[in-house]
Amino acid sequence: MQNHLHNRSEMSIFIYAIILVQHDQFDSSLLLETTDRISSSGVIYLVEWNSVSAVVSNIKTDSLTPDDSTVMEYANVIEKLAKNYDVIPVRFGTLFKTIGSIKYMLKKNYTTIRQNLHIIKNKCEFGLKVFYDSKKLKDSFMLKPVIGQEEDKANFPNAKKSVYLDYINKKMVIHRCEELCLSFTNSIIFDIKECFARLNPVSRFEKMVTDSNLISAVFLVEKNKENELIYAVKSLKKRHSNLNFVLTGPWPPYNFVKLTNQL
Amino acid sequence: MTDYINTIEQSKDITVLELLDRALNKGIVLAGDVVISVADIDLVYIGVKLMLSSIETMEKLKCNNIEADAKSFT
Amino acid sequence: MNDNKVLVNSGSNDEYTNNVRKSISDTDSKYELNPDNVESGLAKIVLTLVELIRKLIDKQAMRRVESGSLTEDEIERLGETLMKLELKMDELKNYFDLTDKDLNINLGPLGDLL
Repeated sequence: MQNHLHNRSEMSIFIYAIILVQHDQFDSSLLLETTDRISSSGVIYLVEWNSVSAVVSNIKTDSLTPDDSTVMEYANVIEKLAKNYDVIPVRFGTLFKTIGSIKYMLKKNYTTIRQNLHIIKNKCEFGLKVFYDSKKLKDSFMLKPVIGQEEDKANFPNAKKSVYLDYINKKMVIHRCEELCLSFTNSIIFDIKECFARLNPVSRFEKMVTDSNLISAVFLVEKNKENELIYAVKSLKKRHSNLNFVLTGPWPPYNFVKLTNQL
Repeated sequence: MTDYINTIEQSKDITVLELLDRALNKGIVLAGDVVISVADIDLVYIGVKLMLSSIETMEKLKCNNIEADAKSFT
Repeated sequence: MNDNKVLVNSGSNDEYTNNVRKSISDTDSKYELNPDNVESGLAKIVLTLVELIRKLIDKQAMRRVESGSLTEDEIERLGETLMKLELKMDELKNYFDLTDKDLNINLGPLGDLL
């Protein structure tokens, strides 16, 4: 049957997430037929410590290919768990050697895990991306180089043409453009916060992610608030017809879980 | 009719991309016995983050100090 | 996953997919750090930090110029220093065969470094 010469490191344990539940209360029928890409046996099981459990499956260490379909399989497991439990997603690709080491990890981080579970209890994540035309925005600022230009000749009659001053001028235009973009972004974030205030979310914003993605935000809100969120985004669109808004969700709380006491 | 079908397909596209964006980048980082290179890099980045915070603090202190010698740039 | 998660999209789907697809495929590169390319991987991390510091110095310099507290002479000397710094950085990037894109490491929860 099995090749008995197989390498000690051949098998590992892949962790999907950590949840708050005891073994006998876990409904594993939730997870049938979902993991043949990650785990050839397809079996998902729990490793418990106290009142938390790691959701895992056995995997051949070298066989994990991080491609779209594998990642989606991992995400589907988490999605299914999130329907019934509070879930802490664990970074894709985290492997442990033994069940004992998983228990040790759960024990060592027990307090933080419980704190994370408390923060996400009955909540889910939504994403909001705001798109803009950066060229139009920058043009609207109408910036021109300033230093050492005609206006200055009056004050500095002996001002020489200088490649270094030109360099500073160019950088200054870029700098002021960035500052103006930043304050524009901040004003949109202010509006977003205003429109979302009723939902009392925990929120995180990324600014000017790409040339067309002005803001990328995530929100942790109570479950079943889709209608209020949609309403909030539609009012944002009314206020800013030159921007485009994409609201997605609900998601498991990928962006709102953190374990910092390890390094 | 075609427009309606296109929108459904493209919404699926957006859903998949958003999902991948979360699944590839997020979730908690654990120091396991054996972690594949993804998590290793994250642990390096956590170290970088500590350095970043101290640079930011430095930057703030410099901003507050308007009398700083301009010659420090030459 | 069968659920459609898009609740509101006030723009075109193409705009979204073109931009976000690009930023997601960039993160695939972090799976490629292995013993064979570990040196250029280290160069990447080091140069990214150097570039970060250089950009912070740039920003600070621009604020100083904006504040109007420098003479034209001082501004010119500043320009010379910054320009030389940038040229040096370009040299280093060329030497290690790295582009600006390569140097922008994704820090996961912190977003991109630069």
